[in-house]
Amino acid sequence: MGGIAGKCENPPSADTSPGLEVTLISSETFVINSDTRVQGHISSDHSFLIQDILDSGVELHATCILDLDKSAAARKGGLWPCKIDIAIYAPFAMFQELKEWSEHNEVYLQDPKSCPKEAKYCNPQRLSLNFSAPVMVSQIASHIRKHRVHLRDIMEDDDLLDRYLGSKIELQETEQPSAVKTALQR
Amino acid sequence: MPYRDFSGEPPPKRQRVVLNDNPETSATTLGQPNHLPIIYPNTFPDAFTSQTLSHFGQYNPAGFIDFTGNPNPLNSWMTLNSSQTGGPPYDAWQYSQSLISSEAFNVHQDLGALTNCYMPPVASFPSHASTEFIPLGHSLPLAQTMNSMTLQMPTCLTSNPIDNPDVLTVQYGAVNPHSNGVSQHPTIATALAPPTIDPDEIVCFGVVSQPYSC
Repeated sequence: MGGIAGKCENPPSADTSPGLEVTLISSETFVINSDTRVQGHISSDHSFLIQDILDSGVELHATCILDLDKSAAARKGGLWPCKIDIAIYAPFAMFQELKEWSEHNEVYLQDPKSCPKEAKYCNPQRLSLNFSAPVMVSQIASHIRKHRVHLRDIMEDDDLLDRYLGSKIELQETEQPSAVKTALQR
Repeated sequence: MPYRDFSGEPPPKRQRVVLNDNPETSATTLGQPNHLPIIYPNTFPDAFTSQTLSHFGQYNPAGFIDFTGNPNPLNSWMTLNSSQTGGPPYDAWQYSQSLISSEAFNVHQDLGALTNCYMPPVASFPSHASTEFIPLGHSLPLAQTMNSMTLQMPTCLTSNPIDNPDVLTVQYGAVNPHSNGVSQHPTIATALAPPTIDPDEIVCFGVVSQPYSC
């Protein structure tokens, strides 16, 4: 599960890791901070979502991650497929409001892969967070980088699942969230 | 009392008690010499019930319990020997409490339920049967009859929840944010409870991803 799908004009360099910081101009366009002449476009399917976020007045930190795996044929008209990660920063008082908004719009709030701004991390959808001892965004991003999982889209004729399900590869299980872990008591 | 060595001589003549009315399995046992003072295990099916209802016939709720003096037998539960001792009958509340006691639901309670007469889980040992012949450590059902006939009242029923708060609340200070008085696991309670973050502090709520349907 990645960010919001979009397309970006020719980026300034091919070295886009971990991503290009961008600024949302509208619900459908963004510009790269390092070179505002380079624009990008967000899929119209999600424009209503972006507009909601922009209207709420929350602080946004967006990152454009180019999909370098896509073939050159996919870059029609010089546009690179990309995903826009939009990190939401807001006063903690908006915790419940953000929670309800994400549930109403069926939006996942995922962990940040990078740390555009250091702050406490309070994802309302993540039960494993202990808000009495909150972690920082940089800690989460560091943890994700260490345990990075390569994601790719599954096409209709993709045999990825068949290969895994038919094999004897043991997939690593994620750790059980502490919030639902039953502690044995003596 | 001076110690007496019985080795080399037959044990003293004692009374042997068999609490079984089944003529095939019980025997005339009074006064038989050279028998150890034991109570035989009852091999008759449901022997305990048998001896309870027939040998101690006054316990039979079908016809032997005397409701005389009980103003409202429908709401009162006669004890096994209340007619003997003249003690007060148990009322419906005590009976309902006995049902949730730690004692296993046995045939006596079952009978009580069928006949509207309470039969407690233990029966008093008959006064005419001497207890000195009960061997130590005997595991027969009859051993239950050694217990005094009292209602087993769980201690939790007599305690006030306020007096004995939840362990988690004491140990961790866990509080249910829903304020319904139910304590939660400390971790979950912490996750749901209002944290100690300043409402005005800017925090990160996560990264927006595509909606579920996409």
